[in-house]
Amino acid sequence: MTNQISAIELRKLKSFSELDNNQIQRISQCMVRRNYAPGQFIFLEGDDSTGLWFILDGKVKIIKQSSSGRMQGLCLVDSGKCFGSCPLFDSGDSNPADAQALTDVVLAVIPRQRIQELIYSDVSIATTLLEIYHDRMDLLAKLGECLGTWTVGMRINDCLIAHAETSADVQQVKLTHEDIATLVGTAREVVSRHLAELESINIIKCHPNVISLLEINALKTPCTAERASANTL
Amino acid sequence: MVKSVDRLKQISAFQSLSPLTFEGLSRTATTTEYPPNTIVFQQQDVLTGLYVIVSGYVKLYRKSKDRVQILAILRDEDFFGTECLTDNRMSSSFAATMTTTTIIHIPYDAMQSLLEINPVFRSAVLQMVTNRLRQFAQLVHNLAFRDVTARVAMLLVSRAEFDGIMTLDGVRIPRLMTQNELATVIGTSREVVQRTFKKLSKMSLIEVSRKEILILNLDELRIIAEEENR
Repeated sequence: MTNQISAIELRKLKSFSELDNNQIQRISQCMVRRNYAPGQFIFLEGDDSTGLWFILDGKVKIIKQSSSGRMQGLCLVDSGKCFGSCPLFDSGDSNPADAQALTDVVLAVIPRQRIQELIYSDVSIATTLLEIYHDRMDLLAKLGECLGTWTVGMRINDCLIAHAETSADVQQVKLTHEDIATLVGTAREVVSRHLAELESINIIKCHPNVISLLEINALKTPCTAERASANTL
Repeated sequence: MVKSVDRLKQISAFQSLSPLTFEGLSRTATTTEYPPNTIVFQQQDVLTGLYVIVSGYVKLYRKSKDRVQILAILRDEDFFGTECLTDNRMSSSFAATMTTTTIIHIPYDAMQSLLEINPVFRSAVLQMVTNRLRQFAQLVHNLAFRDVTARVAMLLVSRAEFDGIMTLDGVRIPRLMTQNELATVIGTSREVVQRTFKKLSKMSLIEVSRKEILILNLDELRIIAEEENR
């Protein structure tokens, strides 16, 4: 497989949907393809920034680790989106978090130096990056709000809603308890107890590696979260 | 107005602008003095431009029912409202003054124009935004990994480094926030903040009075701030 990314592949990425053919061509010429297996780290917190990463296929999780090894998920990044934007213009220049492949992933990276050249030469690319950054900002702001003000139960319920996908008319979440614990910032056991409580009142149904959401609207109700979390905490 | 424009020149993002561009900017930018505890904009408001603080303090926060989480406290030469440059221009948080605060507002059209004509300014705006991203990511890290004592210590160390006045007794920091507001910064309750202050006082690390906090041992406070216990 070639290491180059075609303009056709690039056009499928949401971030570039507003750019014209010349701009797409210029960006694709800067990009390099990279593949990662599940569990492989793409970069670690503190590493020098390599560039801006786009996901052509698969999912990547962005996490911060404490010195004792406990993990806090910042976000899950899906196909079509990007990550690694923070260090590109920061005076710090190093990655503020880890990036790890959740599934097999195919990535396209624009090296750091090329990004800055593109920004300088084309305002539309700068505008695209601003849009990406503000999506991130909103996500981090919400995460800060959740961690500061919500109970663990509320955060787990919110995580289920945020990652629900429709499959044969059923809303499903394809995350392990460990993944949810990482995203929410708690222990796997806490997640398992909370999910068991939700299952006991028929809000969800747990299968191996898949959670079916039977009553998604009930997950949005504060009292559902409180009742389940009363047993969790 | 002349004084506010001069303050903009001190901010690195605006230093690349030519005198002619600056003159144009000074005609469109407006300066407003806000009283304390005034909301500048609400979460999900459509923003009309960038805000730059000339003097005073502004807090960015989100609300969840009756609970508040402060995301950042900004001071002079800080900016906020870059969401005005996105497609939907909607603010991701509330912004409110904490003290009497003077703010320059640069309208959206002027910001767009600057981005189009000046690549160095483009890069500088992106840097502003990534600095804010890093700040928010650090907040998430602190809330997830540091216990309350470490978070209080971290806040005090940060205040000491930015606003502290070195004296023979220690580092003096003026009381900027109520204990309630401090609790919303670090994600806990006022009672827990009170108990933590008492604990740090008993350890002879701080002295708390109505108008100020005196940090007696900044080095030791830094060590506590860096501890990750969760």
